[in-house]
Amino acid sequence: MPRLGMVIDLKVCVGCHACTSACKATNGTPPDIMFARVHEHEVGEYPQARREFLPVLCNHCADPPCVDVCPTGASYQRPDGIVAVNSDVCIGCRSCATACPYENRHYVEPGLLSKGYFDGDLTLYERVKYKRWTEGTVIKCDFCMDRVDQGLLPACVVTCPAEARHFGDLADPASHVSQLLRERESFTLLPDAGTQPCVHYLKA
Amino acid sequence: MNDKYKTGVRFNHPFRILETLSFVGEGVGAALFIVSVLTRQLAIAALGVAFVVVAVLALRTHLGQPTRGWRAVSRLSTSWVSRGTLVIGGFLASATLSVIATYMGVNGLLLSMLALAALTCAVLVMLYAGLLLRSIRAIRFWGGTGLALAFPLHSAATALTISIALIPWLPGGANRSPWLIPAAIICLLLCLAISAAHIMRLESSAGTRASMNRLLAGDLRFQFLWGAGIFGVALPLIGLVTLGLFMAPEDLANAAWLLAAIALSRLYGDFAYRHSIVIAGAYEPIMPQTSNRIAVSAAK
Repeated sequence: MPRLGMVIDLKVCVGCHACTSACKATNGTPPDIMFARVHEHEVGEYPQARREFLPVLCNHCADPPCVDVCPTGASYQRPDGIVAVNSDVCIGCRSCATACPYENRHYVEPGLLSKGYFDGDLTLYERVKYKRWTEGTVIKCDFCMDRVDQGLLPACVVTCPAEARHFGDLADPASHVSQLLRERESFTLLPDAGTQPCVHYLKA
Repeated sequence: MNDKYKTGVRFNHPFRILETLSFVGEGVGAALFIVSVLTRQLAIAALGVAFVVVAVLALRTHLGQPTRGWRAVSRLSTSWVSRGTLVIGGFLASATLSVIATYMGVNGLLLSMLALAALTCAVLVMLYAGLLLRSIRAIRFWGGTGLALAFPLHSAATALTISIALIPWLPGGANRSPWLIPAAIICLLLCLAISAAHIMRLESSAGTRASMNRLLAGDLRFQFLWGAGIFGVALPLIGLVTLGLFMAPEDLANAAWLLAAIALSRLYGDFAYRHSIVIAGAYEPIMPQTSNRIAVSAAK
């Protein structure tokens, strides 16, 4: 059984936010909703202070708490490990958003899809892209599963100019991501939460 | 910038005032129904059903797609929201039928079965909110058994104080239920003890520390300390002890304003307690070395 996951190399991430832009462009998420984000924080003190970057997205956990709490079955996990939401079934109770320790679920507020990024009417791009979303439901990163199903890589992976992002089957010992995890020291976010994230970070 | 785009401690944002309203409404409504069975007062049962109806309306307003609400019972095996929806629906149906049957003078097996079903659902409805919050592993402040016990106790204490305020005006009066005031006092003391135990036995983490900072020194301190502590527990306790010591049950009707004030103070205190607990729930920093200073200062 495959277990799709991502490995992000923090040593080469330059914090350019290209992943955020690529995700936005591909998925056309509404204002203030970003599936792929880059957190920045300061480490150390002057004169050794520096900024560190932490790209985040849905961790597609092996034990996803967001799926368990969903009262309708709208949140589901595919056999390959991708966690997704069926907008036709979601009732917008936001239990999943509360249960996600990483806050990687986003609620589309009623009226948000008619707002757009600019005053006045939606742009042509927004009109086309927003058709995918339903107001009053929760949306999230699905590892660009439409692309993955066609044999393509997620948009954030192909866009990363530093090639910090690697995508593949974590269950396959011969895969590129498994090799990276064997060769380099890595960590996952909030391991104490017991969610078994499938997004791993290679230490800087 | 949205709080969720920070790596430090972030406070719960999906659950807000409508969830608190529904938690208070369903808990107090179910407890009122149980008190009504014990005191045999139909009006209190009807009030209990009305509280739960208000809770359901609040919950429905919270839903992004309320017309699909019926789907919420699809995942009983894993989801507490599903289980809660089922028992609340079961309570509303059985309690409403039970009230109507009693009002119409129906007796016998049917009424007993309806009342039994409503009572069973009422107990589960009272337990539901605390268990729901406890099941959210991401927020450690809601974990443990303390909160799961505190929520039904707060519901019982509020229902008892409301019943004490109403019962002198109902058929049979306070003479028939002299145990109400002692029961309310015991419940309030238990609320205080269990709520304190929940806070004192919290797992130590950046998230729980931020929650406590917010409750005791942050923007929720007035609501938590004054609302939940003074209005919710201290004032009702002083009022009920005074009434219990110095007033005979048959004279309670003479203290109508005081009883109403105690009930309203308790109702507000119950809401303040649950609202501050819900709002103060915090997620752990996703990077262990990240300070929680940003989130705490934002809350202030």
